[in-house]
Amino acid sequence: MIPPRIAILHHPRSLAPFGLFQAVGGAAELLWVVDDTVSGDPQLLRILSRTGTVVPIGGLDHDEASGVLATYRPDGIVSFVDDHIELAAALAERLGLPYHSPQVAANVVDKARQRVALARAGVPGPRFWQVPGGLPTDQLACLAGTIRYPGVLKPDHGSGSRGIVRVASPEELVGLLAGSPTGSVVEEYLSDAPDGDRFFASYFSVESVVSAGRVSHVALTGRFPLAEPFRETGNFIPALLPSPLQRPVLEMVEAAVEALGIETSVVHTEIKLTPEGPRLVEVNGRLGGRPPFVLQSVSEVNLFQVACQVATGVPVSIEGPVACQGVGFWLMFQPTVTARRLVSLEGLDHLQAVEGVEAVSATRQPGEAVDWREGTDSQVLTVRGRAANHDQLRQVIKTIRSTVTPVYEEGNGGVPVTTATFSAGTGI
Amino acid sequence: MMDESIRNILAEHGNLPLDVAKIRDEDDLYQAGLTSHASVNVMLALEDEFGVEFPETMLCKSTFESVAAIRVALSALTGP
Repeated sequence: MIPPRIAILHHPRSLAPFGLFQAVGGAAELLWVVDDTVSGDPQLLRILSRTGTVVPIGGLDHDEASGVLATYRPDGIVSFVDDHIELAAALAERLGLPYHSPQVAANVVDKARQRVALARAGVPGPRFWQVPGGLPTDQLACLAGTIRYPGVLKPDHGSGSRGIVRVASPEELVGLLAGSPTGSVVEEYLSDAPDGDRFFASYFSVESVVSAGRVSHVALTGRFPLAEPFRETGNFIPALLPSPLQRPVLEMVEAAVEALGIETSVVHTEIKLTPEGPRLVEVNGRLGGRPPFVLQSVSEVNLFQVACQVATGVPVSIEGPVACQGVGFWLMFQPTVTARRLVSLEGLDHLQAVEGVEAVSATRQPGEAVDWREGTDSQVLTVRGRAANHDQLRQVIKTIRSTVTPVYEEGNGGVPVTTATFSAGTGI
Repeated sequence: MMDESIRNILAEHGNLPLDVAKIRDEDDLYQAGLTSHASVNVMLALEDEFGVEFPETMLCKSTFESVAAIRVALSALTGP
């Protein structure tokens, strides 16, 4: 059988081409749709050419770009980052490929629009306020006075926890947004469910597949507590979710998928457990960044291949959440908010010997700058592995955290300070 | 000679947090800190150094998982 040709809109923050090529594993022939930035990176161009066909569309409008892409006869199109979902939708519409319509694409990438659609459909979520860009300061102050605090300020477009901060007062919000040309959303800050296990975060995600009018829920992904202000520190599959909550949570995702009009896509939905019950925080109309790798380590499901299948319009149905062999995890060490440079990762040599650890990736080298403003991408170290169950997971994570200690140069004087990354702001 | 070149390339392009000299031939390089991104740089540097091109069938994680695995792959490409 000839594998389908899948057009992938490449983006610097998307999945690494080589890793994606390996993950797809021959289930699809890859067409790398790229803009002008790639021509300045011969190394990247070389690897893209080795793992697929490069389709340059830099400087072209949607009609021209779809015309170029049409000559490669793609069977499907996909974007693994929010930044390119609307472009993918525009090209898909012109080429007659199954993907989000432009309206649905706008629903999934525009946080304000998404929250309006979810609220109208009665999907339980945080209260929210839209803050248009370019508001005069007096109007901004007036709007800020109507918002309930503390709130969570988010750019209306964005991902990876970039630019997300907690705001405590109208004055603080005005200080942050005065003169900002881009729109934002302020959400009500959701408290953690009181009876939750504080070792783990009180939020999780649902990895679903929407295909041929059916929603399949493939996995529930648990989270480790956030680093300040709202940066992810990792996830694990399967999540620890009380059984009585599972069905209502999955129905909440189905209601959200319907409200947003999603018909063909892999979907990654974040949900928080609060004192008032589960609340849907956000729907992403794409594959989640890390859960597919974790799921692959503990099950037979390869969500990368599933995403390619869905992209071609082939009906996909998965009975889930799927069975897992143990608990897979992906742990990230985030720098403190005051750190400006990584000095060292003390104890890194000993991590390999920790039972349950399968892969260690230092994403920053000693001497490299770090900046919490990069969101989740500010991580300095990633540790992946597996545990037999959630109790063992807890032990493995504790051992990892006690084995390696990042040392940072702080921004307020440059004196190296040893900092346990998880000691602050994560509820542990 | 081949092993020395492989280790030099790992030291220069592998972005490993450990001293490459301390890594044994069979040690798992991913567990030792080789990232997917760095493995690409290693692959390209190996191709340049040995004048070979890894075929698509070899563009998989296992090809670069250890010094020994890299040696086996290169030997298959460069011949006896």
